[in-house]
Amino acid sequence: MLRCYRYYLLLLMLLSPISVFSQDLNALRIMEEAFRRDDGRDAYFKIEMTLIDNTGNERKRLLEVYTKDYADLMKTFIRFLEPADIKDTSFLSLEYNEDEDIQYLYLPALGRVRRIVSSQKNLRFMNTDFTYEDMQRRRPEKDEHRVICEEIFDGRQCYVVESLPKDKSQYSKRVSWIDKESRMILKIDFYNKSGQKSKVFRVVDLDKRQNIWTALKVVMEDLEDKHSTRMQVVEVKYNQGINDDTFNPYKLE
Amino acid sequence: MMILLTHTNLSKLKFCFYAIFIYILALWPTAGALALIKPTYSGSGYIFNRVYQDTEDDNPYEKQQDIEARIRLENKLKFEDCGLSVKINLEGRYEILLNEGTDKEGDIFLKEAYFKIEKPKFSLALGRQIVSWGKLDEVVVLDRLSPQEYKRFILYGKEERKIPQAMLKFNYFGNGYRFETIVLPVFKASDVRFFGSDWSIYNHLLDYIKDGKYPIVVKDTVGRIKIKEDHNLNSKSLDNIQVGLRLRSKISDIDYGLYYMNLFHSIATLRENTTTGNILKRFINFPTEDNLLALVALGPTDRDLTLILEHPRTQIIGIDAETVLNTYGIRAELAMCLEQPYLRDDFAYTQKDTLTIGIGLDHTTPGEFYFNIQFIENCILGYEPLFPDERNSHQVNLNLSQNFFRDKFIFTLKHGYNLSYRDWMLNPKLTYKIKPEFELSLSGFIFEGGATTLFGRFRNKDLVYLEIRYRF
Repeated sequence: MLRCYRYYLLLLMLLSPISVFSQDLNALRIMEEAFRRDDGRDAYFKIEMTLIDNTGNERKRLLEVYTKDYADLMKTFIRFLEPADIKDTSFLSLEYNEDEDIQYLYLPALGRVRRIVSSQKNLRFMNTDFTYEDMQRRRPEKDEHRVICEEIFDGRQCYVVESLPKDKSQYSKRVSWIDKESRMILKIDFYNKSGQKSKVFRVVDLDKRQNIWTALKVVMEDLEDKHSTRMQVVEVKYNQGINDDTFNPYKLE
Repeated sequence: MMILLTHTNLSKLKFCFYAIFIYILALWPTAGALALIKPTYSGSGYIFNRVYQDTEDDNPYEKQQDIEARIRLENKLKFEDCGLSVKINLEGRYEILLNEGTDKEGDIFLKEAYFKIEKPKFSLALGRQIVSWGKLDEVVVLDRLSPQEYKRFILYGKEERKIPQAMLKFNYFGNGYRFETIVLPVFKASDVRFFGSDWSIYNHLLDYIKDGKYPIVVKDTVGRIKIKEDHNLNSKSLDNIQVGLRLRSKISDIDYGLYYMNLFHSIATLRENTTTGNILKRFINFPTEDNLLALVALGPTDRDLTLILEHPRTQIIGIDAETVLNTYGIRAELAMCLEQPYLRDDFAYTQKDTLTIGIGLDHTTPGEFYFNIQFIENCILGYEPLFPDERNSHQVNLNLSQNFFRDKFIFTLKHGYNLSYRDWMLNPKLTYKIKPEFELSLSGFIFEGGATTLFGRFRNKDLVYLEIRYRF
């Protein structure tokens, strides 16, 4: 049945001028499947983050990430455990479907919680190669998608989807490699506003944990700065019933 | 309730605190058992060394070089399953003042030391703690519960200056709000020095006269000048209890806090015993020959020459708010402080209600240049001519920061300018992060202004310093 459906789509794609529209529909569906793939009702990750500069010097960080999905909202809480200069720095992000996101930062040196500007998503998150925009899962409806081709990446069959932002973004274009089997995004090429490829995100290690496809090791490379950030999952737990209190901004202090 | 405690009553106060401690342990009988099974320990801390160099040799008493070392050990024991944690921070300091007669000073302090119970609906912490209230940076509008150490004026940031003290913190977490109660059973004043050190308000004035070529009667008069503490305030009396209440919540896109505090003014104001004491205050604020002779001519008694460190009880009602607008962070604080201490223009002690409003705005550019500007307005109600305060005074604070080479180098510039009194402070700092845990900083302070202004009092204390800090 699914195969018939694909043939039907292929037929539609061949029929110009509606082929582009059909292709968009297919691309949107792929992106939505990637966005809505099963990643647990909630998740806990302990991550070792390594910042690597252009001379190969490495700086390591250890952090905990808690995420939980609600009906119209996704909450993420991040706490740095190491090194000492950023220990206990915490970040809480409340991503709404419709409204502007709300973000809080707790800096131990300041001794209090600070509301931070969520609309400035082009800023680097804690000096990593991830910007605040990269840290969030981008909703598919914010972009116009097009399947460019299908190809094998890292031994896995992938759709290659080009996404042009309809909504505000720091990038002019993203090209994503989406694994057909897991619906995981295995690679993203980010293009800056001048159309140059500026960053590359790659999943280096992919496996199932608690029957959920999990990117165990990822790398974000800044091609302009020749700097990269590697994130290795040290521990992961899904569907543990994370308490809502974890995401309570009044408990950040 | 406010009964001055006798020795017996003092024991009752201690008993109350121990009773709360035992009560908490009794409420969580599993805590002790679990402690033996699964406590998690986390330790951290830092060690740093600062070498100060004064930029100018202004007087023979001033210490030109100064070396300071501090080590802090932070220990936290957490019993996850029962929501109990114990935190003990210790700080050791060693100071060397390099001059002809080299002084050395070392000490070990117990900083924060408390235990905390966290439950879904509430948290309770008892012990030595600090409080960080309000939304603005480095200014004191609502952040008044913790006293501060001004031994080195503002060479350390506000949070580092805070002095931990015994308190009970209770938080209730409701649906979309938090209600916080803080009870401080014992009063502790901010550490402000008046005479005899480089960073004291009246500097080395008394030493000048004692060692100068003055008649014996003058030296005798000045030698009898004393500053006395109010012993009632230092006693462990229920009269000295201070309370702070805060409600935090959110309306629309604005996070806000409502405050009520009933506390003592932690920075002392000098109160005279007699009217001759006002002549004494005139002299120490304007140390001219005429004012000195006017004081001596009165033949002051010891009582005349004794000034009392006054910390009046004050009530503060306030509000803070925080939001974001486009790419800007906006913060505000408003405090109505009742019966704040002032000096009239004849130097007599008086109290006035004061309204303080602060507004701050910050922004980070795409190039990661950060700026934070704050404007503070102070209005004294029921105004009469005061020394040195005007009816309305305005202050601007600026904080700029730029990271280079991915946080390897950080340049910050802090600036405070009192528009009304035209005194200012500038504090540039360049930090090189050799490793995340190891950094080297070169910094300096420039103070300018009139002799009786906040920053102007230290206009001869411009300095540069080198700091090495290692965190572990």
